[in-house]
Amino acid sequence: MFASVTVFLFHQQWWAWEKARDRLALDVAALAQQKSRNEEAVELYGRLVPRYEQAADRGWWRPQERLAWLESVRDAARAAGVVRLRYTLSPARWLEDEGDFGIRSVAVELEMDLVHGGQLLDLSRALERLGPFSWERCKIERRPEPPEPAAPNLAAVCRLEWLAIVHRSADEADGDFVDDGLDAI
Amino acid sequence: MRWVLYLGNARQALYRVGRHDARLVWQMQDGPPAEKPAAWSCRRLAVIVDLMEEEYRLERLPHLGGRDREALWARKRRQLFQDEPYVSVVRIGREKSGRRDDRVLFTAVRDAPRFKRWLESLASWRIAVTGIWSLPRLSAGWRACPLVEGLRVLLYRGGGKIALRQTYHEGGHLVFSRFSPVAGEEEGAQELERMWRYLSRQFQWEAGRAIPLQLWVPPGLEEMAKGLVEGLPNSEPAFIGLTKVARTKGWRGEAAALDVPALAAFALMRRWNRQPCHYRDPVLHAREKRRRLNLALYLGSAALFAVAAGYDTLMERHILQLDEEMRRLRLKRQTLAGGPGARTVPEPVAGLDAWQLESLLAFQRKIAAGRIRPESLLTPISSALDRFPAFELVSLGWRRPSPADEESEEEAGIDLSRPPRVTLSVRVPLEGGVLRQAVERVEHFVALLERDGQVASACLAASTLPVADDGPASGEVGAVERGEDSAMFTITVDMKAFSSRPALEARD
Repeated sequence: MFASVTVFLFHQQWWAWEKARDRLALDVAALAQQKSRNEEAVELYGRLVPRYEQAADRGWWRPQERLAWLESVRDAARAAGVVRLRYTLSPARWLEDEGDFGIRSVAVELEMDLVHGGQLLDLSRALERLGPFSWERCKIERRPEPPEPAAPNLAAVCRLEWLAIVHRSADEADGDFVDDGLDAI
Repeated sequence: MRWVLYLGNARQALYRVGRHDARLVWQMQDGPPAEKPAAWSCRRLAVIVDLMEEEYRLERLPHLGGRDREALWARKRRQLFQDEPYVSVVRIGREKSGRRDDRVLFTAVRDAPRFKRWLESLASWRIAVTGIWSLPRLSAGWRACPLVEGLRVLLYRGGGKIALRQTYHEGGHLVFSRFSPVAGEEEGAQELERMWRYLSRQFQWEAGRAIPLQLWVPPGLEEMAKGLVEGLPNSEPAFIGLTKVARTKGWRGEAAALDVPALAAFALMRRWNRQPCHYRDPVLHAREKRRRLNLALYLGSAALFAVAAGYDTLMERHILQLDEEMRRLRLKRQTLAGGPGARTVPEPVAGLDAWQLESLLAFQRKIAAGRIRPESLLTPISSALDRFPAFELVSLGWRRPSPADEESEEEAGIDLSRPPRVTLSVRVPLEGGVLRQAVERVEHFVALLERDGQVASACLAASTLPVADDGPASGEVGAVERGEDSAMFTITVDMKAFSSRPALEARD
């Protein structure tokens, strides 16, 4: 009887300690995992935040604003000395998804009269301040007349994609974007 | 070490049986003593009876089985020995003819007050009796000198007389026995002759047939043994030394200490010679059963306790190990919880955790690498044209080749992984009207483009000159000078995939 009682008690104690040990081990493992995860997060943040901020400065995360486009393209065209620039903004659309994020793109049609080809590059650099653009196609032709200074010697027709990476759910919550933009400077 | 009490009419002796002999510890002629002798240190012993009061009755009973046989034997037992407690019944074979009845030997120790007083004394001395064996029946089981049929006479000394234990065997079994103390050779011979006559009548010996006679003789009684059988008719005497019998049973003790009771005690304790006890006192038997049960319970409890103790020890060790492990784990948890990094979760940047940020930037990098920038396209072409100042760039365009048709291109979106194709038209002057030289310069221009690190391939696609063999060619010539001083060439340049242009990616 005594032996049975001692066996029972020892077994109960051992079992309780085993469970406590398992709980403790799980706790420690979770802590270690959390610590490792936090350290990894800190390391990732340290490496990625500068790039994120750099991309933010270039407008990668900023949804396209047409008023900003208007201001920028006007200033850019004047600064580049473009003789004439006509633009057409298409409704924004989703191009590609990556998890919760997607590429929100606005197609831009440009018709330009240029004095020389360097103006196209100046315009490209000026638009980069507004956000990332991909010049999907372009056709630049020399006019048949002999080139003259300050005359529209080149005619260019281009199609651009104005890109932005945005959080889809947040963007959709703000309302959709369907209006066309059409203006000329 | 085992103990055996020999109970004879004229002598009682206590033997301590070892591995090689049985040593006489105590003896007296008229027991039991009033008090327990000091030499008796045993708590349990076996009893060998060698009494004149032991009766042998060979009965022929119908061959039955099961309960009928038990009832028949019980009835016969009561008929022969009434309610005597010390009765043994054993079947020793069947008749060879007639109804083939069972031959059943009934033996009993009856009217033996000394025997009963001994048992009472042993009980009062708290000495357990493990069993009661009959000496003649024990000796019948010794296989040293087998006797199928005939008379076996055991000679030994006891109480100042010579004991004659005569056992008659038939069919290899003991069927009759008688104990007779005699004073000397003459009285012994008369006793043996009486026994001989009794047996010849009882077992109806054929006249003139020689009956085997075995005499087991201890040292010193050889002459007397020979004298006993001298006048015995129709006998075939054989003298067997008791020493020889004892050797075959494993006796290694002194020959002087050897006699029939000592040999019986020694043989009884041999494991291979063990026989079931011949007589069983119901009270003693019940007491022995209780003792065995108690012993079993005690041993079982002890075993259980030992197992429990072992288990407890094991558990205790495990618990100590667990304690140590838990202490180590607590310390580790304390270190982890108190140290930097475990509790302080980094604040998310723009609502993104580190891994979301990582995947977002990877996505951004992929998009940035795939977008087309005019600078990246015009740079190699501009560099090549710088080498050919005579070339006039008439038009330049690019587009990203798309598998989708033109109409649905707007909806199809763009495939950022496809590199763009640049098409340029140049006007090349024909110096002195040498066409071949102009073509060679254009081909040189194309080769220069192909060598650029950002260009995958470049080729001359079309020309106003008939440079291709696979198309029609037509023109007009004559004596009048037409004034054609240049030719148009269309060149397509396929740029490399953006993923293979790390320099461009780095800019974004």
